Amino acid sequence: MDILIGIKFCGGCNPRYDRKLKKEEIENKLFTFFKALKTQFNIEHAREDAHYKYLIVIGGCSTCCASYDQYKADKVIKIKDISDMPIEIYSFQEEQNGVEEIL
Amino acid sequence: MLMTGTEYIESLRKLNTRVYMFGEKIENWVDHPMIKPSINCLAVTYDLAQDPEYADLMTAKSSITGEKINRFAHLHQSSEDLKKKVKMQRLCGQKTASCFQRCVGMDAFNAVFSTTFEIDEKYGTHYHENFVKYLKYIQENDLVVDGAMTDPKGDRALAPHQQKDPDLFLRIKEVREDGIIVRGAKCHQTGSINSHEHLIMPTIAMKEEDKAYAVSFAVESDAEGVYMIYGRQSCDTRKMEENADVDLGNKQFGGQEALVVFDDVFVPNERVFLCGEYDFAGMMVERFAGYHRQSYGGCKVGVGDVIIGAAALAADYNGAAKASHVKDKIIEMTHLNETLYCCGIACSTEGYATKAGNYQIDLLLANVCKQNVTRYPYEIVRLAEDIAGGLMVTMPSEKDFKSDTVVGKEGETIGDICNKYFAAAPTCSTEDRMRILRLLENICLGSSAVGYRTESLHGAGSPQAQRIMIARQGNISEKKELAKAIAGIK
Ligand SMILES: Cc1cc2nc3c(=O)[nH]c(=O)nc-3n(C[C@H](O)[C@H](O)[C@H](O)COP(=O)(O)OP(=O)(O)OC[C@H]3O[C@@H](n4cnc5c(N)ncnc54)[C@H](O)[C@@H]3O)c2cc1C
Repeated sequence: MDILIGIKFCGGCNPRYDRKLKKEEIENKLFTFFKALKTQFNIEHAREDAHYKYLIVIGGCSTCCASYDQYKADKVIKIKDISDMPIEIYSFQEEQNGVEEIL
Repeated sequence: MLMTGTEYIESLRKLNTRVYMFGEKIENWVDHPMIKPSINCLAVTYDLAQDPEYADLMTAKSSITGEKINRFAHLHQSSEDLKKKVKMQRLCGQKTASCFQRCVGMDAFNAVFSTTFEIDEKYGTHYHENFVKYLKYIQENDLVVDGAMTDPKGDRALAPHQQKDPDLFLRIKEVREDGIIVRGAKCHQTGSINSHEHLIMPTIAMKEEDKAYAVSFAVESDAEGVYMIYGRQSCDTRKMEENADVDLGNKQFGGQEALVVFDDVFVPNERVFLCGEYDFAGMMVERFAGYHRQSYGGCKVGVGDVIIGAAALAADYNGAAKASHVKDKIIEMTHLNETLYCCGIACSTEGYATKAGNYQIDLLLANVCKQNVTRYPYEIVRLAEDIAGGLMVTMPSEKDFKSDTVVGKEGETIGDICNKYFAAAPTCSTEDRMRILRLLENICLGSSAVGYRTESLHGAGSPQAQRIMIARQGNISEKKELAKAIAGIK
């Protein structure tokens, strides 16, 4: 089964970095990562009627005030800074019996 | 159902709103060049709600239906909601650099919702039920509603019933079995022409003699007997100039106010939310003003963000960005702007549940917020004008910059001369410099100064109105006790 990943943005009242570019960066990295693992994944804007393995909340500042209680997700990962990456997802490789340093 | 910006604009075309400007009826007001920028502003509040990048602030779950709605139609359910309201307003201010007009309605919804609950509790009336039905209709159809409070008020020294002309405060002219007939007007109505509906509230606290003026109700903007006379803004006719662009400063967006007249308008009972219960007029006014004073800690901050950015760019373009006093002025502007934001967030954080269940801001902090708003934007524009230099008010027109008319001995055109003498730092084109200076002109003293300056001063009540509230809420007796305890006074 595909890994389903949801993306939720904060509302962007005073973002300290470009959240849209960050989303693209994350998507590109995850694409490389899951390709190496030969695992299918889907990434989409979070919907309330889906169940996500990972929900990535992209907040424009350290407050990261986006609401996400309405979504179903096994794990919620918050991005609050330009340098943050959803590193928790990389532990997925351990679950899949270890792939060498991919990222 | 959330509308898109385009759908919103199309929905306005279906209304038969009567609009007058320059002494004439405007038939196609939706496409009128002086009105269109204010409609574009409201369209932004729809488009941002559709965009996942902004939806967290722009939408909410309705407490009435459980459906996703535009936050501008939301009843705040928590302090978190109140904070998100302020953040949404900051966002909309940033995206439009103008008054985007949709907050008066939102503030009116929340004030009328909680006040009608308490009127019904005391008098056994059905205003709250009426209002909840009305708001459900607004939420489901994603409509814009003008929050109309300010009466013409005539002689300020006289109460409504003492005025020579009884219509100077909007009043109940007749009570019928099926509804009421109202007469009067509301002044300075932000976004009234662009609104699908009007929600009317009294303008001041009232005594028994003013019973006929204690009225709250809703009407469609094109209801029989309603008409609007458009308010002029500084530099407004620039928008009528052919191919106007640079000279407008902000080509796309702008604010709007109008005089809204109620010429014996019938309001059916189900749209009446206060009718003669004068002892609740004050509560409705105070709650609306409280929310609206909070609002300014968001919307003006968003516009302030644009001004700060524009001033910083002007400094870059002028080649003065490295000067220490210029850097310090940008810091000061940021400090003032973020102080306003702090106030908006603070009065939201200290919010509390009303009897009806929606959340109300902390009144003292909201009044402190608005009192600061009556001052800081003026200092922010002063600093912006300082950094910009005089050219923002003395620059020739865009037509001159583009003119081929030969004026120089060596065949130079007016355009060549303008581009020669108004060039500055090599990193920017003269046109970009013009654009940023015109944007500053627009907000500091052009058509958007209506929203950024005078609305900051008088909107949601003139400065003295906040000082009265601060005096009432200031808890001075407790402060005296604190001082006595420290000083050892028994
Ligand atoms: C750009 C803009 C947008 C607005 N949008 C809206 C809107 O959407 N909806 C809405 O309902 N209203 C709106 N307002 C109206 C706003 O709330 C009023 O301007 C404000 O309440 C002040 O009223 P006024 O303009 O009649 O001034 P006035 O009340 O005439 O005040 C002028 C001065 O006189 C003083 N004064 C007045 N009466 C007295 C008195 N009895 N005793 C002592 N001093 C007095 C005031 O303190 C002030 O200093 C808007 C105003 C502006 C400028």
